[in-house]
Amino acid sequence: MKWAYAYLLLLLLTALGGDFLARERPLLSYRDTHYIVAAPIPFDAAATDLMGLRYAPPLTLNRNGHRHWLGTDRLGRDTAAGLIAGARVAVLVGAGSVLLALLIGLPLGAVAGFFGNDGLRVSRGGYWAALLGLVLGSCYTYACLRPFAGGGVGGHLLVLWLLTVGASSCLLHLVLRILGRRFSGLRKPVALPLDHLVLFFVEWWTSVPGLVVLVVLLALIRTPTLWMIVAIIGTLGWPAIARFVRADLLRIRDLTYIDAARISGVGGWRLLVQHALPNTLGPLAVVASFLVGSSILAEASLSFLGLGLPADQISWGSMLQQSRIRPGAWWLAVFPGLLLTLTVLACNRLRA
Amino acid sequence: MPYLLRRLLHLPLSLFLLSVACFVLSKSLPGDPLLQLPAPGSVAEGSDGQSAFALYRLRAQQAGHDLPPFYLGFSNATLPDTFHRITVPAHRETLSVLAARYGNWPGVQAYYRSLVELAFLEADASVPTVTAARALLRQTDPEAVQSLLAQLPAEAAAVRQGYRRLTTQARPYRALWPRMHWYGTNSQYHHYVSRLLRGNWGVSFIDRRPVVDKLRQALPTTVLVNGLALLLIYLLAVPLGMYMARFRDTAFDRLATVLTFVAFGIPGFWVATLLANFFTTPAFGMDWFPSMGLGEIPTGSGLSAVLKIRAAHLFLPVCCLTYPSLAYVARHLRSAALSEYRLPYVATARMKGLTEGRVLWHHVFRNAAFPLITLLGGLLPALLAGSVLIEQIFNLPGMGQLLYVSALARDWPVVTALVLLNGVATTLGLILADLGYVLADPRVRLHPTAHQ
Repeated sequence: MKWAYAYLLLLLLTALGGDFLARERPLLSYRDTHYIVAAPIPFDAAATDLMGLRYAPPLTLNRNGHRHWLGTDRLGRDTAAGLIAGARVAVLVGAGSVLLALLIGLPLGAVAGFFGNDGLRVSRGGYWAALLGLVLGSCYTYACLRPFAGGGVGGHLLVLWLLTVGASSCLLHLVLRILGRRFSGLRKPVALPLDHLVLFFVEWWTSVPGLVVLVVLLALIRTPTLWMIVAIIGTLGWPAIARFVRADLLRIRDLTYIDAARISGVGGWRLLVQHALPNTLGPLAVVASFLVGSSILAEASLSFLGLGLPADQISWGSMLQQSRIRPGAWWLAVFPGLLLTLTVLACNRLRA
Repeated sequence: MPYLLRRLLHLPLSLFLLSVACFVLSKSLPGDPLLQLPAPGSVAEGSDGQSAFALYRLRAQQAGHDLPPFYLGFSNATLPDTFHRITVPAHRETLSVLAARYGNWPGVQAYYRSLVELAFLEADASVPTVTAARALLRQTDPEAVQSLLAQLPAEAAAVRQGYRRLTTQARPYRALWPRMHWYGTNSQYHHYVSRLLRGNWGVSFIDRRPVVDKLRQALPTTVLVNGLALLLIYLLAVPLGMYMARFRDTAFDRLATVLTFVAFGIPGFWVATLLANFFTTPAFGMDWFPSMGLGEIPTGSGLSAVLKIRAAHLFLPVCCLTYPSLAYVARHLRSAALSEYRLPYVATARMKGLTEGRVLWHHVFRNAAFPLITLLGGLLPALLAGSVLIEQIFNLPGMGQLLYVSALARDWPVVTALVLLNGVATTLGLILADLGYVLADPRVRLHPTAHQ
């Protein structure tokens, strides 16, 4: 357990301080005395050395007297510097995609688990207003507001969509409320089948295996940026979070302290956010750290397949891919894979 | 069984949503699918403007691209309900932008007709008039349109006049008015689904072979490799997991726990890369296994020879596929069995004087094995989908490699078919797992929410 925390902390520090650990320019230099303080690994990760050492084994000295501690690759790039650059990619992908997965999965899972299928009641009018508002608002945004959002599908359209859905729901709610004075059926409370909805959404979202989706999407995008990869992996990861939070809240909502709070008059949403959710955060952190490991693994698999980041951005997966071109260059296969394995094991270890 | 019934009712909805998603995917992919077809006869694409455009339209009609996309159409009031008859995607894009901006469909239509006449009149695309007209068909920016219009010769007054009429008789903000139209079953989606159901999954862009043939060719390899792996996983994981629980906190259990933890964490594709690099290439003098593929079987060789060749080729990939799932299933089973051991019925069984082995396999295992059904439902789709990474590393011509190669070559019909197939397999696997669980364990029927 302890080694896992220590390793992950080290990885984080390496990612943050990578620029000082591996760079070609010296850290400090004094012109008068010709005295320089070089970085421990005096190479840039992306600096190619086509004239010099390609596929140099570990501990080789290059012509400037610098040592390639872990060897070089096909383009003469230093492996150790590449590993450090890869650590940064891994940390960004792991942290970023899990944050996104939490952002989507936590609310959905919490609502599904805590309220279940009959925990949240609204008037039938309100129910239909929200549902119709969502459908009609989305259709209207698609058909009529797209031309005004600058053509693309960006932030403008998202804002317009939210505004339209909100406005149409409110409008419908008003209309149905006035109608509700005449028809008592509209005022009757109905339960929202939140649990069914979320479970179905999760099931549908995961109906195509993750790696298949990744391969197809990235072949479609062709030259993805790091943030695109983070976004895609994150949106594939949220069902795991939602499932876990739902299952955990199913357990928590039956605990006595929740009943006690309910009896003393704490309402539904406040009960969920202030009393039930904090109880699940501890176990959730464990699941999230597990997801960090699998997100990093997903990015490495993509780079390994040559579908991930552009070629000048080194990651552990792309180094592994190079080892396939030259099987004799064992250092390109062993070191990145070892780091990848350690990272995944450390992330899994936090679970136990 | 209302739970079962509700579960089964999900199936058509899931499949419908899946088919819609695949349809949208196949429609929104980059590149015009009609241009991927080789030109029939002697008319090369684009060489003879007028007839090439007519040919394109004919092909689009044959392929059903001039039909409305879905049963129900949603658009704004500036577009007519026959807008889908314009088959060139780029033109459709331009026209919808112009229509939304000026709200004047008759004007847009007249402008488009005069422009098409000019753009496809000449055979040679390098004639300045034709170049400008074809650029106009893709241009919506007012200033760029003006400068392109200025490049047109004097006899192209109809286009200029059309554009002027279009802009002067504008009714802006008409696009804010929505319009809905019911097209019925003569729509592209309807034809797409009925083609799928009839087994016509399209034709590959790359080699013109039917997609179904390619899938049929790749499937046996994947089923063989993954079937072997699945068999091994269950054959080895069940005794391992159960004995870990039986001998808990002994040296054996502790060692097995650490080993399965490490095995579950080591990425399979890294191990596969190492094994492929070290043992299938002469780089380290350990060229023990045949390198890639499934091996050639010489004609007339006996069963033992076939088995020997296949086993040599399949050993490493099956190992790499097996060990992570093996570790996962064993750990899962161990913890399930441990929680069963705490229950009073185990003590009762022991007090009856049953042997420890009988308690383990006849009492504990039967209750701890229920989650295995769910796991099997999750693993079954892999039989069809294959593993992209392992098949790629060991060069096995299965479904995973087919997906990878097709995706890289942008062979969209094959890719869409594979996505659809995977989706159907996963959905069915989940449902089968749930059904099996409900049939095997009556507790689920009684308290459905606690076990979902």
